[in-house]
Amino acid sequence: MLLSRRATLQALTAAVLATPVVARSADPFRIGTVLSVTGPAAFLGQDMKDGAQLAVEQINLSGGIDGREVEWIFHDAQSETQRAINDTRKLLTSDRVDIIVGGGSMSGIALAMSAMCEQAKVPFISTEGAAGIVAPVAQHRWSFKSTVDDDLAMQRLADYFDKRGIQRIALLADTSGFGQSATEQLRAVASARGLSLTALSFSPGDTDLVPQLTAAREAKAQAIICWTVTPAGLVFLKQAQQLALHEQATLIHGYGFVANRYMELAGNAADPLLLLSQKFVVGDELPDNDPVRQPILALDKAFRERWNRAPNQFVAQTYDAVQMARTALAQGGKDREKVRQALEAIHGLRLASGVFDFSPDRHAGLSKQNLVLVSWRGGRFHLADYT
Amino acid sequence: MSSPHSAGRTGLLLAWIALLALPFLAPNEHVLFLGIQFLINLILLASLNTLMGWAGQISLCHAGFFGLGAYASGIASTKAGVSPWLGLALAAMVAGLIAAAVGRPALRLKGHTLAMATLGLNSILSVLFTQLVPLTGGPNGLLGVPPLSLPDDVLTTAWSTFLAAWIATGIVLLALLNLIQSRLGRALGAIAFNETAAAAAGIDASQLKLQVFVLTAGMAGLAGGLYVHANQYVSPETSGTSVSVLLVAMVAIGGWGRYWGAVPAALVMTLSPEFLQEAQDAELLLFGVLMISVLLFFPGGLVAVPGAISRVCARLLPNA
Amino acid sequence: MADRTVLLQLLFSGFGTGGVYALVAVGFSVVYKSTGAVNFAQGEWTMLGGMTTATLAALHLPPALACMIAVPLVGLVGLMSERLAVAPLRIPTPMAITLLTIGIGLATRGAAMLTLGKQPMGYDGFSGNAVVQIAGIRVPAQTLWVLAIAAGFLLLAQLFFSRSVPGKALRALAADRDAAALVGIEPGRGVMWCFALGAFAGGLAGAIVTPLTFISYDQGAALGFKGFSAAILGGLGSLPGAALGGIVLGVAEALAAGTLSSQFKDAIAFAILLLVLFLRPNGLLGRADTSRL
Repeated sequence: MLLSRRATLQALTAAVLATPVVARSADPFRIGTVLSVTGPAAFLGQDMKDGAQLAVEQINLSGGIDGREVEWIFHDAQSETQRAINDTRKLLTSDRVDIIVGGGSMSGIALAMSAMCEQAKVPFISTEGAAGIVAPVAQHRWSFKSTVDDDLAMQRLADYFDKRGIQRIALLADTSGFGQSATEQLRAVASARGLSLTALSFSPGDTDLVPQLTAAREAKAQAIICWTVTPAGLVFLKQAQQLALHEQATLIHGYGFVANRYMELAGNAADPLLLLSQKFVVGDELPDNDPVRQPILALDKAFRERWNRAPNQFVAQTYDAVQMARTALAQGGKDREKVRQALEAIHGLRLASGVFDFSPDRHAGLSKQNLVLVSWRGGRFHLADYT
Repeated sequence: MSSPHSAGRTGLLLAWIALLALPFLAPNEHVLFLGIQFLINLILLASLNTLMGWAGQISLCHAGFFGLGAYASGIASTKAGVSPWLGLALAAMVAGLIAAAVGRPALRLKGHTLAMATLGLNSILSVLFTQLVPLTGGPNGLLGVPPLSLPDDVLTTAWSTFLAAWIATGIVLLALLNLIQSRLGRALGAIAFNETAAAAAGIDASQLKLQVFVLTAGMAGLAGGLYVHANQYVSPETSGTSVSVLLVAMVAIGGWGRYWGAVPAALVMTLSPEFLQEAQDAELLLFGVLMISVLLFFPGGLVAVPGAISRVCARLLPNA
Repeated sequence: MADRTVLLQLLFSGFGTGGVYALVAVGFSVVYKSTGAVNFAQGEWTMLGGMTTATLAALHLPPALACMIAVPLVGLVGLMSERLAVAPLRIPTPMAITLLTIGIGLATRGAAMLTLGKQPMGYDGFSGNAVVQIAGIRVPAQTLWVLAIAAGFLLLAQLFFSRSVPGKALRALAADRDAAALVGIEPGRGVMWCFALGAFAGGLAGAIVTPLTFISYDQGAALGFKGFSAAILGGLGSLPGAALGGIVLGVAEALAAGTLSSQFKDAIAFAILLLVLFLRPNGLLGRADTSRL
């Protein structure tokens, strides 16, 4: 009883937020979203939520999709898989949404949600990283993702190492799904491209990485990559500085660490750092002919107007995912199979995270051309390596 | 410690049959799965309550045994094609076996040291669940676990899962009731009260404690088996040390050492996330304060609340 | 030659972490001694010490001053927690208090998240980001501060309990509650001061380690479990035990991560702990049966 009251409440809030320019008569499209606004993933979940909300509001202000209003139902998974599973079940069986956008802000959650959507035959656009969310496509016909695959990220890094003549690398990845996937992919890429890799790991709560860094130093690594979204990545920077490792090696963080807050906390320990990133944070430094420059600048402006703060990559991930949902719902309407096919047909769609190309046998839409290396100087990110 | 009266068995039977109404009343699958989760929590909490209340042992590894059961059945069914129904038995066995292996040295320890040892065991299990990626799927969890379905789709998966959880709950609750009403149960009570005196009276305390430890761990494993097939998924954080601590707290909130205490405890555990989610960021603070309030004002736990209220009413209305 | 510096580097790193574990363990010990309870709020107080110091430091207070304000504040939080949540207890059994501390811990974490935020925090150490060269290895100055402060605090605490009148009163309370009450020591007050002292020790640990590690509201529980392990390992209730337990655990973790396997380091540390417990159930320095249940 109270459950349904809550759902109504949320629907009401969503309806109030989404100014009713749209005629009320048509059955609205219901978009469900599960993200983590509290718990360990909270620091990126809030940005992701605000990005999605901005997109939904914009859609409703501009007359909805195909004359239908969008009703947005949001659940906070609190970084807990069990909650996310319950929330997803509620979206699928009680709220009966047309599409789910956002996979709980954590790869582990998105993987579980992907399996549930597959069974329920409801389209799912994940905003999380792990390749297994959409691969193999035969078992993930209903899941798509708005993020880049880790194997491509590692290929992009290997391209950079080639350019710099770097052969010995070390990886410090956290024990989460994000880190383990990176370890797996970098192992494959390193052996394919003749790099010698020392793979180490740490738990997200670790307060001391000196042992791992010492091992990386002893392995004479020329580049040390840290792969995490947690504050332990700051410990990595600080302790690498204390050990003067930047004199020996290039320090690199993965795209999970591209956040102003982290860079500010790191202080001058971030000076020698390179970060693998999507183009979003350096949108204004991209060449004019770059296909994603315009979408980035547009989102940046809209987000600042709506929330009075600067957006980041995580905002773009959910914002883009809602845009893809919009494109697909406009074509497929209330027919879920048609929506699914419309998602597979997305080609050359220019959004803030990059140019998206889906196909019936590829449900991860970004290529490695959408990745750049950036550095942090004077309170903002700068483009350091462009294709 | 309240000794369950003779009506206990009839009451249990009636309550158990009444639970069967739930799938008929549930408006959608989400609510039905909440019911399944309630039953799983009930098995977990009732078994831990017996270990704590009657054997006087604090185990901070109950979530670990739950995880062992979940992974045992989950891995057996995904990697070796074992039927999920058989997997349930396997889940209970694996958890019980591990409990038997570590129980002998661990149960020689007392009070805090035992709590620490079980906490350490849970931590080790957590690391194994996270790091043995080829087996467990690592931090991303074990995917593609088959559900508890019946041949030819006689019933929907949700229904058959509910029935499995319902039957398992009945067996566990009856077994626990029999245990605490038996001579063994009274012997356990004596141990919890005063282990030295019990030993003097000829009770082999360590042997008894080990048996209850193994039995309740097996029940936690069974709950894990149900869980993994109900959700078709398990990940390491569901069996972490903080869950073990929370389970102990939940037992106390429900009514430590009271047979029916597990029922309100499981209700709170299942439903509080649903209700407190409204509070958003304040949820954690609210939950902590509520927990302190219950422990302070109802030391007997929530299960003692109706009795306390009726006593107060009787005092206020002496002639009624 | 390289091996020797590696080993030295790992040892230093382990000592630094161990010093922090030792302080957290002291918190466990004093609350255990006065109540017989395991204090599950201890880790949250450690987190609170770090978060509060970092918040104050962000207001451009000198780090040492921020620390000197924040740590007594955390002590006050411990004291208030005892007054509000433990003192009203009608029958203060160790079990009831243990369970209450779980609630106190959750509430503290929730309150910290609401007031201090969800973002990780940090601040430059007492000597900025200075690094010291010792015997061919590089050690952050803050690690030396951690070791010095932890050692100083442990020494002071030891003197307090063995020499001072209030310290002796608290010990008398721990030894025999009723007898202590007979000679005019009020048990409730004693418990209150022990909670304050425990929170102070935890808060201090959090405050001095934050420049090295950063801290966020959800990291308390993990630190608490490590501190609990250190306390049990050394022998719960013994101050030298807490120090030894902390150092042994910290060094074991660092060596496991640096030489054996960074993936399984936590499992290795806990396996060592279990082994010690099975062989010496009262910890490394614990006395035989001190059961008070």
